[in-house]
Amino acid sequence: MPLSDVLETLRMDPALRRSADGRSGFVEWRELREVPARYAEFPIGTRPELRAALAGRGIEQLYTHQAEALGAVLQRQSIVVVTPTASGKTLCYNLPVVQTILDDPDARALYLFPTKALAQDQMQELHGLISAIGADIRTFTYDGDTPGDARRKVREAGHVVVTNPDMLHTGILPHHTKWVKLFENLRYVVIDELHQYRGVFGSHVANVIRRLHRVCQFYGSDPIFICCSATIANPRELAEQIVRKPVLLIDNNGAPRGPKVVAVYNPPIVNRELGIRGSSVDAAREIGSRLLQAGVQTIVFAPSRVRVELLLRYLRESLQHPSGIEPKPDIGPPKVEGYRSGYLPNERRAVEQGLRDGRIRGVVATNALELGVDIGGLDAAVLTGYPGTLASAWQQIGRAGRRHDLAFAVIVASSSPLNQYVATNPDYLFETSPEAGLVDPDNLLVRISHMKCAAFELPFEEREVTEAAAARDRGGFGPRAVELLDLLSDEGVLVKAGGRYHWMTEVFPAEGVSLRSAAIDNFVVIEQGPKPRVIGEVDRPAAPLLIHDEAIYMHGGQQYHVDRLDWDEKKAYVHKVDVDYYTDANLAVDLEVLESFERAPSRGCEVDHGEVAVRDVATVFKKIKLDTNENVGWGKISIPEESRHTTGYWFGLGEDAVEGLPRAALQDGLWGMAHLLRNLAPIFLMCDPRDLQAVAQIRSPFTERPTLFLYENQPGGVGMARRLFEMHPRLMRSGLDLVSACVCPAGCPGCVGPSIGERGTNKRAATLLLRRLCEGVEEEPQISPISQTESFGTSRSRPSDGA
Amino acid sequence: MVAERAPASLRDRLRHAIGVQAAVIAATPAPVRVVPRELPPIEQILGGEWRETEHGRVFVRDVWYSLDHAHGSLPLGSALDAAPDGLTHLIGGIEAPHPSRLAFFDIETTGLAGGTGTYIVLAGLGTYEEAIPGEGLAFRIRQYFLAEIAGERAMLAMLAADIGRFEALVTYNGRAFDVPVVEARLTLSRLPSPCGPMAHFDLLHAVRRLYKHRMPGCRLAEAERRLLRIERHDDVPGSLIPQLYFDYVRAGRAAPLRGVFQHNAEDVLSLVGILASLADMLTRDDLDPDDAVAVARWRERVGDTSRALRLYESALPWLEGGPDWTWAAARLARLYKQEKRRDDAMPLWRTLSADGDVAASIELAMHFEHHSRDYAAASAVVDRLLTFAATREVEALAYRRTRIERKAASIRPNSDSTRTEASQ
Repeated sequence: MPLSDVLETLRMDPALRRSADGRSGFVEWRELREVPARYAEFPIGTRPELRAALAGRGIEQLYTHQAEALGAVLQRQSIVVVTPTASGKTLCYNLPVVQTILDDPDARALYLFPTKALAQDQMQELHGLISAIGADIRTFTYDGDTPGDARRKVREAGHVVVTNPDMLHTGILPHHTKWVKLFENLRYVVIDELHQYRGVFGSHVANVIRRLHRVCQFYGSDPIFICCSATIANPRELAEQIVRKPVLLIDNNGAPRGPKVVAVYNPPIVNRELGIRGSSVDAAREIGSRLLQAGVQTIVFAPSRVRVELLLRYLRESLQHPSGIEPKPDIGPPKVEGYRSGYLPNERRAVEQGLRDGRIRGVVATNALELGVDIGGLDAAVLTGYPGTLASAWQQIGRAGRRHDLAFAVIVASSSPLNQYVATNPDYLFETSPEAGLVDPDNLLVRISHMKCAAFELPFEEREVTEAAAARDRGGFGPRAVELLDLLSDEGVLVKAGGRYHWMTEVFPAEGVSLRSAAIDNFVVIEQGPKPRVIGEVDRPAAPLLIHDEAIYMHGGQQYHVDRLDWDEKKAYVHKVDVDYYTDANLAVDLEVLESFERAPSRGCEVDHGEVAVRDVATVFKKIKLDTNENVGWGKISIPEESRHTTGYWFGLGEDAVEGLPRAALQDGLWGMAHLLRNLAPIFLMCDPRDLQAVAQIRSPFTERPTLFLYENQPGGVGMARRLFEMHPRLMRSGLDLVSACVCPAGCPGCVGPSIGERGTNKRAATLLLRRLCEGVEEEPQISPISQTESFGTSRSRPSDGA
Repeated sequence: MVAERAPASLRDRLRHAIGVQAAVIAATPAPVRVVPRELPPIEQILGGEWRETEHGRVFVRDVWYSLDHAHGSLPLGSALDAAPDGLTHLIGGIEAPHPSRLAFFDIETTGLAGGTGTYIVLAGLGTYEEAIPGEGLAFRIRQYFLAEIAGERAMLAMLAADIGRFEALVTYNGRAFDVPVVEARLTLSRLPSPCGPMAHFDLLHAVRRLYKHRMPGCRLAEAERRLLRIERHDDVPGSLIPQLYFDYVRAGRAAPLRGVFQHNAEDVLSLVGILASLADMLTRDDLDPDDAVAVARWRERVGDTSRALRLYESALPWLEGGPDWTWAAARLARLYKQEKRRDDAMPLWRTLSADGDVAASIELAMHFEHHSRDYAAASAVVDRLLTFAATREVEALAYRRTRIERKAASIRPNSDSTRTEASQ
């Protein structure tokens, strides 16, 4: 059956189609037209053997963006290429790099990918091109897995070194004297998946690049940067902040795209009183299994690792026993696999290969497959929940797409406010410019960490860090760098001698600085038995939730019981089980204010931002029955608690704001506001909802008042708390607008959260509190549509200009 | 910015971010800031002198030793008399330069982490020189001290020039540490390295080859204790050196560095003794049994089987009852087998097997099965093995026993044994 017929059946299905009130079912069904290819001539000077090799791979002409990229780079212009998934982005950097090395065999290039998996993938691609040319261009990956005896060869002989920012940070820059050949001849630095380098991670990477510039200057090279990014609002600005050079934007996409249907599905309301909708996981399962049964190669995105495993299991069950269809024992059900972080590399490779050659018909993935891993284009993508940002949503949607044939993508809305907003305003998806990628390279804490690393690599010259130099110099470390160096000297880390600051301690500083907010050490999951084997990995932050004692850990759809978690050894011992429940752990959060940086009065409250200590304590887990989601038991988790420092924004309510509210109502109101603001603030901050957390305290030990906290999830923070502090009145007003416009009687997941218990006061209390906190709001609630779009597209000034 | 509003707090937060090092500094006694000029000059304290060079001044200390100066059990001149054959072995088969062309080299640094932020505090270079022209050779240790960080380039240039006068380096773990650090520093100072074309005796590798079974760490102190009978007293532990140097840089305290100079000089002297001792050992046949088996292993590894056999044979009787007998006997039996001298190997295998040695028992079983075709004996050995073999070996052993039994059975009814082999 052609996909168009499958889609028509799906759309008209009585269980799925758009409801009479237009609020449930397929609330959006938009057909995007086919876009034909646009080609351009090879730039003058393109090597004939390069053209021949491309012709041999079926490429006779370049797409417009590829030709423009090649031309610009050969003119020594740094670029950022922004085109959709599968538009042949890779050639935008491989062509100029290969051309240059053919011209000058001494030339070198450094490729940076955010993950090892992507690096491996791109290596194969580049190898293909090089062997087609038959040139002696040596490319190597250099990462934690590179064996010791191979490293010397990479350092000396590699024309193209493929690595990740973490390895550049700890493995290459601090040992730059072993990489003389690379740094003396470094012509290109390729940064793929640039949009990944946002927030704290991006700020760290920008500082690693500062260090790279210093080292290159030492060896007399001045590389051109070639960046590729998914669609974001400010690719050029983000690129310039990261690479610290003027960058040309290339978004003249010439790749063709087949017609595509993009739909939004909102599960039906199952409890009108509470405003609760059906589960997005169930709906994704339904839509996914219908597509798969009809032979449509489909990717299902799930928001978490547990959801990946649940959906994988559910989909396999549905396909094993398809309703209304006679099972075909001779063929067997279509093959469906999982794909997420924590799967072992060979498992991932097998899935990627299976998807490319079509043996695997379906895959359930976390956003691990959002990245540029090459799996070819699939027929359909099912997004379980709006992934939080437009950039992510379009990357996931882009996984469905053929050069010429029809493709289908659907977002299945969950009950979160953000999801419900997308479901009720689908235009948002198509008409809003995507999020901006924010970084703050001058963030003091991030910067001083990298100044230590930089001093280790090369002594700082005093004149190198003067204000004038900071503005001009790519390797400069921003405003007030001299003061920071003096501070480091006072603390005994550096010694100033002869106008230079020298590293003078035994410590290897890069080891103490992690680029990623989450610790990168992994726990391994070991299946016990006569031959114990490692079945997977779990990163440290997730370990208390996924592999605590007695947890059901799911891997590839198989359930394992965790017999013992050895926290110190980072090992979980499991055995296979087949039970009818899964486990879900709760995280208790303990928050303490360490210091207020700034305080300002606002209507009905005092607003602060400052440093907070957050302790996440996993205390209990629930056993939840498969399919029905009943709670069938619980247990305690005992794991050492870990504290992290970050920045938060909070406001303590004044007497006038809480006047007349009984304690219970005040509590409901606070929690209602917490729910609302935590989900609303990301729209203003252009961050992922998971970057923020909210906590309400009925009487905060710090403010001694009822207080609501929003704090940043990333250790140290990236300045979002301060922005919330500055936009407090606007935030209150938007919150009030949203809650006033919501039609639920007493709170729903789309505004202040479902009402708690029988009191049902949370919506009224939150509304009352918000009204008392908004400037210029009196008796009547003001009803106005929320302006979502105005918060997008704004971007911060570049730090080098702004300081 | 936060900074404008709360400068004190910023400093605290940054201090927090600076982290570990600040804590280390706080723990060191009284970081008194003394202007170095008020102290006696380091020439008086450390006993060296400033040399002017084209790149600036360098602080150098020379110490001269006569060739009969005894360092532990050997005089310093002993390396000059080292057998060329022994040196060739030590350097990995190539022709070794004359010992007077060697530079004995050891450095002290600001840390063991390596990388570009590790500085050389003190480099010690020991060479055979003529103190007075025509008066014959003596041994000189020249120590290059990083007295001023800004003078690093001058120090490195002088060091590199001196090293470049020689043909080979002698170090202890220099391949992995001393030479890479020197080369990193030279690159940072944009100076060429003299080490590239030089031969290199890294004595750690030799000591490891010979004594891994005896000294798991193979540290220099262990090697000098064993080979030179040296026990150091009042030695500054290497781990303290960075902190002593930081104290000198920040507070001008030079006196505690005397211990560092002493430590470095002792290390260089030991390189001479260890080289001489190893070269001697590798050429002699009349060795202590302990050393004999160590050298036998070395000979075995480089393919000198006949010499290895002789050494094992001579040492084994003396080792009986000791910890080395078992492995030495196993090696010897293996060499016999390789040389097709099964009759010589058998008694060793029998004894080892009786002591519960699995590998020897399997050799024995194989011998009975394939060579003497004594299936009863073979199966007795396997049966006995099964009583103490590790779980992972059981499967293979059981298979072996089945095969032996099949062969044993096939002899009597005169069936086709080649077919049994083929079907395996």
